[in-house]
Amino acid sequence: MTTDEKIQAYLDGELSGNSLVAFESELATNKMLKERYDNYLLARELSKGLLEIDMRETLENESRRSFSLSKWIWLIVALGVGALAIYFFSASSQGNNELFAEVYTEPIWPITRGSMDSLSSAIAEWKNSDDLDKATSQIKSINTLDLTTRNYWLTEVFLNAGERDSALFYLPSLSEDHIKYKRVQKIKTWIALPE
Amino acid sequence: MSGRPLDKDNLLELIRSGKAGRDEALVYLYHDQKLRNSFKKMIRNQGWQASNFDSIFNNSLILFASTVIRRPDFELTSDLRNYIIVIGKNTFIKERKGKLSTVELEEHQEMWIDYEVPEKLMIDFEQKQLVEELLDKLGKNCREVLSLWANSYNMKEIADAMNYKSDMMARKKKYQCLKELVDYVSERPHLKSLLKRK
Repeated sequence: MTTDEKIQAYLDGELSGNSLVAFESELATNKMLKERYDNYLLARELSKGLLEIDMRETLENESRRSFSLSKWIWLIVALGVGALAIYFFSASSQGNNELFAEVYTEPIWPITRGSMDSLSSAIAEWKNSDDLDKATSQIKSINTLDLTTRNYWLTEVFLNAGERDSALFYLPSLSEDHIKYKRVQKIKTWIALPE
Repeated sequence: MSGRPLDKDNLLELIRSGKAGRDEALVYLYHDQKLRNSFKKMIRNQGWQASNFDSIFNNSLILFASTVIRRPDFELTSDLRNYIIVIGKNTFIKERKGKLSTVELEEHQEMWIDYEVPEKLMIDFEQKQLVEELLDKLGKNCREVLSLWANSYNMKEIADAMNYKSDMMARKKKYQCLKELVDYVSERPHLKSLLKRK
């Protein structure tokens, strides 16, 4: 048996009888054997600690794995939020690129009512004949209408006919409390839109 | 095992079955949300810093598993989660012994009345460089064989855990690995400082 074999057998409790007595007596007197034996004891203690080292490694790996998994989850969430932001941004940008034809709505055209009889007749005739020049001339010649009202309806007629330059020309400036104020504001934005 | 309810007996068996089972049990405990939440609550109630959580939690799991492995007759008579939480509390209090009040120290002494006192940590993990040096030296198989041997597994149990054909093969492997480690240690007496002072 070599020295190492003897020490290992002793540590494992495999020596007995004379072999055990002889080993222990040599251990008490032989400095080199004692030194080797002490290193075995140290190695055994370290080996015992290897269990802890291994378990710590397992837990640290798991911690890293969880962290990297959660990092991926956050990345996916961030990408999702980014995609939604791009979607909404592009949807709102599309709102700015809308066409005149998509947003234009007809006004409530006048019906026969007192001094506006001539106005409603002129518009009704225009709707039937599609003669824009005649309709606008008729509206211009209605003396019972104040200038703002007359220009407003000229604007509506030109706008409906797609003559946006002329509509802009007659577009009146109204005070905020005027009943047609909001409509005029809308018309201003529509006129600026592409066809 | 993940997803299944915590079963004390299965868990102890798994921890003792070798590296694969031990890792599975540790990972299971590591992700046990109920245990983590109770542990965090304990840390908060003690007025300790939340940043200590990872270190105390991991150490407690290691101490628990070490105790299960080093004491083949160890049985859990109390609630598993409570036991691990008490280990955590005990470990942290011990580390700060010099900074504690008399009342806290008395509480610490009484803490184990209802529980079995766990094993102590062998390795001083502050000595990171030395730990890494040792790990680099030993291959994975050697590490596991020596760790099982030093923690009182017999050759048959080592052969089973390592999937060796016979006890003889386990004995031969243990002999070679241990001799290799002793040669390494002989040239580096400073490795002794890796062990925790008791």
